[in-house]
Amino acid sequence: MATAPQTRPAGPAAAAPARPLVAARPKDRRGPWAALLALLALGGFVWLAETAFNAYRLQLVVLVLIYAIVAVALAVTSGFTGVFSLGQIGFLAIGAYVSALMTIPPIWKDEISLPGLPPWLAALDLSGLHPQLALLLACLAGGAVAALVAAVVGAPLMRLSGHYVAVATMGFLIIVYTLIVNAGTVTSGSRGLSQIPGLTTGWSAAGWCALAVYVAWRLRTGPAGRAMIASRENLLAARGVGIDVLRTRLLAFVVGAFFTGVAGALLAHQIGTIAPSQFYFQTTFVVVTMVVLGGMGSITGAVVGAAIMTVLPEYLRSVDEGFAFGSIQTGPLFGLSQIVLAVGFILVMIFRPSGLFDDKELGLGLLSRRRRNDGALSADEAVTPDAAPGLLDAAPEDAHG
Amino acid sequence: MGASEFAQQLVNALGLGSVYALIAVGLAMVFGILRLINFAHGEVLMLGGYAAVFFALAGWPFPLVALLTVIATVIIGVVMERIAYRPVRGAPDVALLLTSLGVSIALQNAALLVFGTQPKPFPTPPALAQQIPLAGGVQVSGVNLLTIVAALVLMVLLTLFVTRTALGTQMRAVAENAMAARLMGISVNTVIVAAFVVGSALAGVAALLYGARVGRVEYAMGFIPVLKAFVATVIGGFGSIPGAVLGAYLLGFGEIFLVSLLPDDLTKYRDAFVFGGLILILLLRPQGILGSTDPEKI
Repeated sequence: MATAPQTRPAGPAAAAPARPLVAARPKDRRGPWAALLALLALGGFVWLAETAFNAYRLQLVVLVLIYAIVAVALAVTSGFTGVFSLGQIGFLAIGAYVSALMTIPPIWKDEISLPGLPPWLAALDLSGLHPQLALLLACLAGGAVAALVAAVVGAPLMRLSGHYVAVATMGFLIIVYTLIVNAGTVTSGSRGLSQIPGLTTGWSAAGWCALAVYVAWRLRTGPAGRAMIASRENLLAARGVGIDVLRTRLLAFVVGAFFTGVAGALLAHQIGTIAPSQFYFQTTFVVVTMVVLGGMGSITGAVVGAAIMTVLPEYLRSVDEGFAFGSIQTGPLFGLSQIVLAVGFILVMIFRPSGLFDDKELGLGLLSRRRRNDGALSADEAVTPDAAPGLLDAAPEDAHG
Repeated sequence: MGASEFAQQLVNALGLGSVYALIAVGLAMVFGILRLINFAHGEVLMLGGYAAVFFALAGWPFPLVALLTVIATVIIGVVMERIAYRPVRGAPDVALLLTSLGVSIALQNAALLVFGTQPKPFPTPPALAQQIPLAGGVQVSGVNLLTIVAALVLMVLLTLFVTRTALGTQMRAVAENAMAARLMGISVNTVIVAAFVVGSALAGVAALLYGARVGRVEYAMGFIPVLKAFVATVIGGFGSIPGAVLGAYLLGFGEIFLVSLLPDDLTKYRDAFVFGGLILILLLRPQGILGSTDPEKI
């Protein structure tokens, strides 16, 4: 892996904490304009969706925005740092359950239906508040609890790399799932929670999505994000210039968990019912596909990946209902859409493992086709986020010496 | 716990551990050579289960069904390697892992599409369903006994294969240092295919024994056992075959005794304990008991 012409190495590790460890990239003057344009486009689109779309289409738009938050969060957690988390959906579950337990009206969480709830939570009634304020509180609580869990779980887990962290975070996901399924007095087990008020609107989802993208963008272009990318590219070199890799990874993990928790809250208040099976491997695979499809480490790529992977299955769903060849009806074909998605994913891994956008961002810079030379990482670096050891790399078909 | 109950649990744990061992060896072999965590290994097991149901429908005797099942799983494993894993070889570890997750989901849904959600009864021969009394009131089911014996025999054969044959030696060489092995003229492709053949054959045997154990075959049946086998390989040390076997038996014992010792309202959290233990091992000794690979820990 070629070393990039990185910005000047920062001062020694003992530098004052106020001083960034890795110098920030020079300011891109087009940045604010691109952001403004994107915000206006998003606002216009949401306005159009809220006023002109039917309920189904509007729901689809909201789901795209919610999954965009999850995908951006995973891009921060895993794409920036190279610490591959398979446990992200555990935080989605935490956000969904915490927020749902807050906003479900007290009559649906009484002694009989959810006896394990603490009295104050069972009595908590947010229906008196403005719906959007209630949703905001629920989102903040869902995100905060997810972030707290991430801080506790991540402190030890972020020491691991490569396979080990993928496996450990997968273990975390299974533990969360097992707890939710079995703690029936609080979560009503595998039946799940219903009666969640439908508070999520296109505007609230869009607002959180914009915030997630903004925070990811600030992280990425700022010292913390550059430290994340440095530790992904070369662990040893990153530590050599004084980056606290554990703290850097933990920051990415906690920020990712917070936004995933918020997305979980939005999701719960969009679809109205949640069950543990929604927060397991199938969803994990879909979200991972979003990020891989968009390009690990690209924020706009994650958003585009989320849009594709949310809209495509909806259209493929009609495939599951079967085909008619003239007079011959195939009958329902359950699972076909999933096969199409999985095979598509494998093809992406084979033919374009770096995703649509690789490490780059879709923006004005890309539109005006001007090369940016201000320290952006080159494409061939990003292809191998954690260098594959061993000589199986590019092994020729016939390996006889 | 009385002595006879303890002995009974010991027998049960041996049976469970043997199933895990048969699956875990396949995972460990492929990991040792390719650094690939093969999530789709469970789907080889699942398809093996369906193959057994299919061959039994033809009315053939169980030994023939078993043989054909193992042949079927070997073909599935080799095709899987050729189509999905070979093209992404050399990609970062995580890309390989994700590809195997994709293969797993594709195969699971393919089974769902073809066979439906309804579980199919497994054609367990009546002889295996019997309870065989041992000394002191301890019983062993025919399936358990066959599982323990089969695992023992296959592990001995596997050890002989790995240590005494040229191909086995080449496999160990590639696992140890692929670059050096290739410079010595070892065909990496042959070794990788061999690992998939052996691993899938063992998964086929596991499919028969696990199917007979749970009595049914369904599209998602491979998921949980392969996750457990995977925990076993982590306990023993990623990529170490003896480690995987040791880990499988430790996990079998751990799980059985956890259930019998824990208070009743905690036993349902068994999987949470198992995977909590997994995380602890990864943190405290990421290279496992017998593993020696680079722990990649900061």
